[in-house]
Amino acid sequence: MRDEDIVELYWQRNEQAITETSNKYEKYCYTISYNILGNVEDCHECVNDTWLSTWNSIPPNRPYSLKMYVARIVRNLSFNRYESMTAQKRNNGQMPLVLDELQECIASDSNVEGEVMARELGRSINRFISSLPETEGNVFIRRYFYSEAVKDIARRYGLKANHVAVMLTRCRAKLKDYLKEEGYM
Amino acid sequence: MNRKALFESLEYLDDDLLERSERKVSRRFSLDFSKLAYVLGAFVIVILSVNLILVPMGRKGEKGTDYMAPESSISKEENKNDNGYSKEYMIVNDQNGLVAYVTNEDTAVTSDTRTPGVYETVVHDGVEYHISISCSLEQKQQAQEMAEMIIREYIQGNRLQSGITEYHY
Repeated sequence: MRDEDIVELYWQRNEQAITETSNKYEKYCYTISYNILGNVEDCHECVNDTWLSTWNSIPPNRPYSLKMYVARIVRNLSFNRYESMTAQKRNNGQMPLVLDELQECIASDSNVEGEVMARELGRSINRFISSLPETEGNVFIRRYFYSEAVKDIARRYGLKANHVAVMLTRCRAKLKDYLKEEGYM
Repeated sequence: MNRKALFESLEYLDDDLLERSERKVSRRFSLDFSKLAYVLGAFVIVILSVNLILVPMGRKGEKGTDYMAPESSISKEENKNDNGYSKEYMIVNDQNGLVAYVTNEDTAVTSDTRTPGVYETVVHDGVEYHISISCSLEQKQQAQEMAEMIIREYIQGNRLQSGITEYHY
């Protein structure tokens, strides 16, 4: 079923919408969640919560891309769950590495609070990624939005893992300079 | 700013950028048509070079004549033809620059209507010999005399030496 049709089902408050979304995007959402949590049980819960959250938010929302919509939700829920996990050593996912890498791009003593600031920062990063060569931008997104492992990104784009790692290092350095210019640091 | 804020801000990335990153690219197996065009171009150039430059350079013979003695056949070893006798090849040069190709091979050029020349066939000891001499119209008389000399001196005189180029002055 097409995304538009599934969204229409949500708007009609037809529960078939959840089944269709699950049939179409369960594996995709599961992968995103697993990249963050690295734990099957937690992933399963996050993915189920994603369907509920989608049901509760459409309407009023009418997403242009349902795939990206559920991707954002599952990423958010998984990250919240990650934060709530006190024993980080239990975690086998990519999150400790992803967050450590992002730390390079920011000053540790400053703070951005609230959704408005996050949204504004998101727009800035949007412009930053758009200014990068396509492959670099894609690699950046796969790593820091989808939290994919470097070797998986390399496989996706037919690159060597070392090449991807170097590309990410350069991207982070560029992002750091960019955020300084934009006044975030 | 903390790293969590930075991570969370990525939630606001454009759908287009996220969709774009979904596309898988397998460079290992992808076909690069520009490179393929270069390879094909190089291949065509090599083929043309061989056909237009190297092959003509490898040929030998009188300028303006179509018949050229196959040099490689001169040096190859004698072998038996279908009639059971040895194939023989010999090239005879004379002081006027005429070149005669003498052979008992079945496939020898026995006449050529495209260029003037002398083409003689004689039978000696039951074996048919062919003499081919390419020449201009002015040299035809000399070529005829050369053919008679070859019949007399080499074929009937049993002096044919296969694979040998002899200069007759």
